[in-house]
Amino acid sequence: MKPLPDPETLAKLVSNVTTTMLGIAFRPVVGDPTPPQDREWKTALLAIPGGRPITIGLASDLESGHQLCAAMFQCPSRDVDAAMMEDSLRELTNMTAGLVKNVLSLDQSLGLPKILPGSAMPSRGAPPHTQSVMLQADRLGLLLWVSEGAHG
Amino acid sequence: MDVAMEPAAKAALEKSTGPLAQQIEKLVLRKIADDSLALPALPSAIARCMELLKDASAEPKEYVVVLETDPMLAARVFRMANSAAFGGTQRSATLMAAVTRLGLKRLKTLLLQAASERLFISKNASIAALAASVWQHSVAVALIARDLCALTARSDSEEACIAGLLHDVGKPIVASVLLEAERQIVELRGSAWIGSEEWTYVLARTHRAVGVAVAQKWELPEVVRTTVRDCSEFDAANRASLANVLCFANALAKTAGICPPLTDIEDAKALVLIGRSLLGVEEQVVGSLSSTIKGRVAEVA
Amino acid sequence: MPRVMTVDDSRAVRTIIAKQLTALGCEVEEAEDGKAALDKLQDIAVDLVLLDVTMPVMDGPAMLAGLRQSGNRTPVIMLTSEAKRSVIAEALKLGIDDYILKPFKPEELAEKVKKSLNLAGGSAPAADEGEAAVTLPSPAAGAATTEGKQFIDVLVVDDMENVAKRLRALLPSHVTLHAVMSAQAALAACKERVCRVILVDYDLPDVSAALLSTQLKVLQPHAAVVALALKPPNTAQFVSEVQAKGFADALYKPFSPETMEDFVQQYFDKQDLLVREDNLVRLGSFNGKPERMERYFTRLDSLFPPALETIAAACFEGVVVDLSQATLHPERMPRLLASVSSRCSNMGLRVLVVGGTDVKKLLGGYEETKGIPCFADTTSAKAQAA
Repeated sequence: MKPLPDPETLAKLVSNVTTTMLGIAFRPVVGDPTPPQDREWKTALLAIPGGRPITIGLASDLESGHQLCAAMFQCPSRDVDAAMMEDSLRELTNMTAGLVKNVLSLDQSLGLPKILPGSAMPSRGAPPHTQSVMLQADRLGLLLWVSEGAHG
Repeated sequence: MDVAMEPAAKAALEKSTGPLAQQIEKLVLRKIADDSLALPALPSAIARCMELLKDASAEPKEYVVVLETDPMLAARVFRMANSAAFGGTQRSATLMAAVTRLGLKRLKTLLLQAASERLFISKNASIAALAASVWQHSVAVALIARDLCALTARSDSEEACIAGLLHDVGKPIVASVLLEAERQIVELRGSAWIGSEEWTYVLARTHRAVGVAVAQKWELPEVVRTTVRDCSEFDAANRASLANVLCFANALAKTAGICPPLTDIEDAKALVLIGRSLLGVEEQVVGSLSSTIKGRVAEVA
Repeated sequence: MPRVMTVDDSRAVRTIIAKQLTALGCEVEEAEDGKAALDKLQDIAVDLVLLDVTMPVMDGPAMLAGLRQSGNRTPVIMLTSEAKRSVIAEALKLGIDDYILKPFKPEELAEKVKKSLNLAGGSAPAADEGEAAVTLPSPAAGAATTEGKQFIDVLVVDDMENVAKRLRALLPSHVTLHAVMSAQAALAACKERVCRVILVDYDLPDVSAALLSTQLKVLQPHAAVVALALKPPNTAQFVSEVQAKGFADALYKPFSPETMEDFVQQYFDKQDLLVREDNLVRLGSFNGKPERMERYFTRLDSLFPPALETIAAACFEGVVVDLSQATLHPERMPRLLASVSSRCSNMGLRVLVVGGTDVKKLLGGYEETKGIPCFADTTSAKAQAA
């Protein structure tokens, strides 16, 4: 059984998705600081059920989510609404989860991503049952984590 | 895993044979670690040539001196240098001329092909047929991987070719271990051991580690070792990896009909489709590779 | 206008696809899950479905099964983050045309959609010859991609630099030449240029020359791909071998002025040997060494049939063969004309010849040609043959 990917690998997986789809490359934030608590957050969770259940979470602060959504829909930022933002976060989570599943050599099917209610900073676990990484591209920020077990 | 069966049957097989496969895998890995598994050494002439290849200042005559100690190998060098592909009027009358005509890059591939092929020759009738078909398949994978690299702007076609030749090299070795275990159990209990599906399953689970150990013992480049190790699955996060090229070539050789017994063709077709997207291989390239590979393997293997 | 349906629970993905495909000239329908797609497909027909795997309400595999059960054989491309082999293998059994793994690049989507819809710029659909079929673009598609590209007479693909240098020294200066040393560079050159002849080293170190030749022909359907090799003992056998592998011919190393003269005549002097204008066929002269005269007539033998077919198709009554510039070999020329006359007779065409007294004398010397009328100039001959 392969261990959960380390933060560096997780950063590459997210960047792989955002570079291909949006032309935006993310890099891990040095020291992996605690995300700012004073911002509002959107969080998507995706479970991979099966013999080794895994959960993938991707969260963005509202401003970052807004800009990523505009890039995804190829539209001006002013045209972005809440539903579009949630949709693009779900899809980024879905694509990242596909890569995480591949890295873990899981012969299990992807579940459907869903948006968590509320705008609080998501809580994440600690290694070895969870691996996480804070990511940055200019002023854009994302938080990705992967946990053993089915959550959400 | 190469066994063609429904998902439910696969799961049942994994449940029933998984523990045995794990035990065999542990046994083989332990044998590799404590150097008690009889891993084949490079034949001495090939090993000495490989040493020379690392020395940029080595002269062709130095290779000739070494090759002359292995008549079979020397004959192979002559045969390739005088093959249709190299033209025929100026046939190489001397080993020196043959080596010069081939060039060092081709000589290296030829040496490793000769060394690998010897591992697929078994005096044991139970293994001989399997080994022969795995060798044909390995040559096909090597050629496809090499051509794919050359056609897609990669500079690692030589490593791809070597990794292709070696990607299944652990199979005949593990098969020998299994046969020996079977012989002992049958003698001890007087009963049959495992069926062919379980046999193939255990082989599929275990052989890569042995292939990596052989590549290590032969001091092949790191990329060859990691490629042999990782080529069972695609790495979607690292699309351009050589292991992905080899995984694709492996599947394509199977769908082209050059495959070991009990190959799951449906699984191979799915891998080809996934690989085409991952590696950006156009459909007509797949068509060309598939339609020509049998003839090319017949020329080489 | 081709109509494509994108079935994906992500509005963002549907939007990206719709924008890209609209730019390709497609009309795009959207559905957010398998059930919505099946419902829509009861009312409208589409040419292609782009199908996600994991969706709420009804997932991709269930939708595909339903589609096929209803007898609908519309091509389907799976576009998904799901790379589980058993899922893809099942989809293959139900009949999918292709597969795109997310995240995807716009080029991959465009290429596969164009190929599936058989639009210009995509590879042609697979020939119905099983899995091993090699697909080539149609000549029309090839011609369309040649616009605005630089033309070169000879592309040389050989890992030995001196091969191209030697060729350059031996080829006439008006024959343009471009040399590359690898398969990859050859493919790149063929995407950027239009070539008349491509010379491929039969023994490239990293790739099968036959495979490369096939790929080059896909990009350059009108070019002659010729194998470059050391001269074998049995050239006829070797030519058969290379032709079986897709090459047009072979050219042997080391090059000599004589072999290059043949090469130039074969690929670059054809137009001057036989020029057709309406029903007038003008033959050029032979300027080489006398021992190569036979090749001149062999080439004329091969150039006549298509010219005659064109004239017959245009409903002319006769064909005028102008021999005033031609080389009048005392045996070979009458034999050529006898063959042309026989062919014309089968097509319902009369043969008229233009030439001086030497031509008249030559024709009169043979039973098969003495009946062919001979005129002093083309105007009077054409008046008879219109």
